[in-house]
Amino acid sequence: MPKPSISAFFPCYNDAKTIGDLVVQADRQLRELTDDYEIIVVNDGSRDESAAVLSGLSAQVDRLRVVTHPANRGYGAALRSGFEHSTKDVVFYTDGDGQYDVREIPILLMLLTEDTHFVNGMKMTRNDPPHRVFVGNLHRFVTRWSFWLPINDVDCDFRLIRRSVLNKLRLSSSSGSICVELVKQAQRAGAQFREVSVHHYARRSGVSEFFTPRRILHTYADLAVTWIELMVVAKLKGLRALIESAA
Amino acid sequence: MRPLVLVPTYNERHNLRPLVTALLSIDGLKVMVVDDNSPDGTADEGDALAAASAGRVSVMRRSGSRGLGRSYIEGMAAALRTDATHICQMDADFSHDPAELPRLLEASTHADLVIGSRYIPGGALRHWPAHRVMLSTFANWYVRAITRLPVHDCTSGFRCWTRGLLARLPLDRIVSDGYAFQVEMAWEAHQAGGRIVEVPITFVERREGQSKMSGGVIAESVILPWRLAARPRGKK
Repeated sequence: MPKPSISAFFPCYNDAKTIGDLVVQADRQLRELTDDYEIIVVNDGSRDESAAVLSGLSAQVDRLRVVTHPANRGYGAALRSGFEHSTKDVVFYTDGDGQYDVREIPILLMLLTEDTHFVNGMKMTRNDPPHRVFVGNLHRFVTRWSFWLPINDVDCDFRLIRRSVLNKLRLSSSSGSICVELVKQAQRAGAQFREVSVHHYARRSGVSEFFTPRRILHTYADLAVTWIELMVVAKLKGLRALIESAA
Repeated sequence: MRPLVLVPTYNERHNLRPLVTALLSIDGLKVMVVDDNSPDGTADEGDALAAASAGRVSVMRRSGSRGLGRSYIEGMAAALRTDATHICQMDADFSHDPAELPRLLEASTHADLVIGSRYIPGGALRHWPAHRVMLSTFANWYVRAITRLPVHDCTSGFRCWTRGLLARLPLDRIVSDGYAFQVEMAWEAHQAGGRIVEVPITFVERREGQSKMSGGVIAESVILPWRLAARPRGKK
């Protein structure tokens, strides 16, 4: 296989403690894999020292580009910025808080054969408290079946996607529901998926943005809207387009 | 590869010559016309084409019980008695474009059954009124929901079978005749462990006059998925 060209990006929101290591490790890993790569960090209006860390890092890692949102726009918006600014044939991203190990990128890349467009990680053993694992599994089950998704672990933000697929997507979510939107739209665009287990580490910086009652309520309200958009509105639009083109 | 195309006909006298001519332009392809006792002399036209084709065209005159499904079953059984390696099926009225057949044949090197599909990205429909589109879309959704058949266009009649898979299917057990016939065959293919691949096609409605959609065809299509879901599963 010819060496791929890779864009790796990391959304960063108050991840000053971890983003530095992540970028340095990614740079080291990607250099081994290919000559043609870039690293992008989307600083989504962090209120900690992320901006300072990143500007220091830019001097050190010449492949690094920083995209800055002056104000916080949300996880989905950060991912969309990342996709927009990526220029290479294969796009990789993972979260800026270091829950995954970028040294496992080669495992994903190995599975990205010619007939594959989307390689997703699955959290091997979760380094979270038991109640979070239980709720996480329940959440995973519900989202997988309600959206009829082609992969087990849609919330595992450790993935490789071919640009040819990304170009066909029209992502609109600004929140965490972008993961479902991304996977579902890619599936409808005809992408072939593969999955592989990856290690998952306890977050080392920040606090969970998910596990508060208010957050959970918010997330599910958001998923419900996404469900209507993807499973009802998009289908009806498709049917209308079919009728119009058939007439 | 020695492909043979089954073309079931009923009153297709005027379409037959251009269709067969288009098909014979594909290298090594043979055509078997399965005529359902057409009153307009389709079979005679077929015989004339066969006489001039150096053995590449044959005609099967049916006289028994009428129907598309029966025609296909008899045609498939006859095709399996030839040396064909791939057995294709398509409509005689140019709803299925013969120019798209090579793409189906190409895909069949990776699959046991290739279905020309209207409902996958790249597939399209032409000259269908809104209610036909909705009915067909709903029908495919209905079949998939009940049978869990991993096919987006179960009712498409533009297909290419490998001999190996078709010979394994219990053709004598097929009960349905209209659109449901295509569904039942796809289901049997899936049960037999066949690898099914869909290739996008553009379906163009050409037929003027009466559609073959009738109360009986619809009733059969409504019931069949439940019969399939209840049918004992073969070993894979």
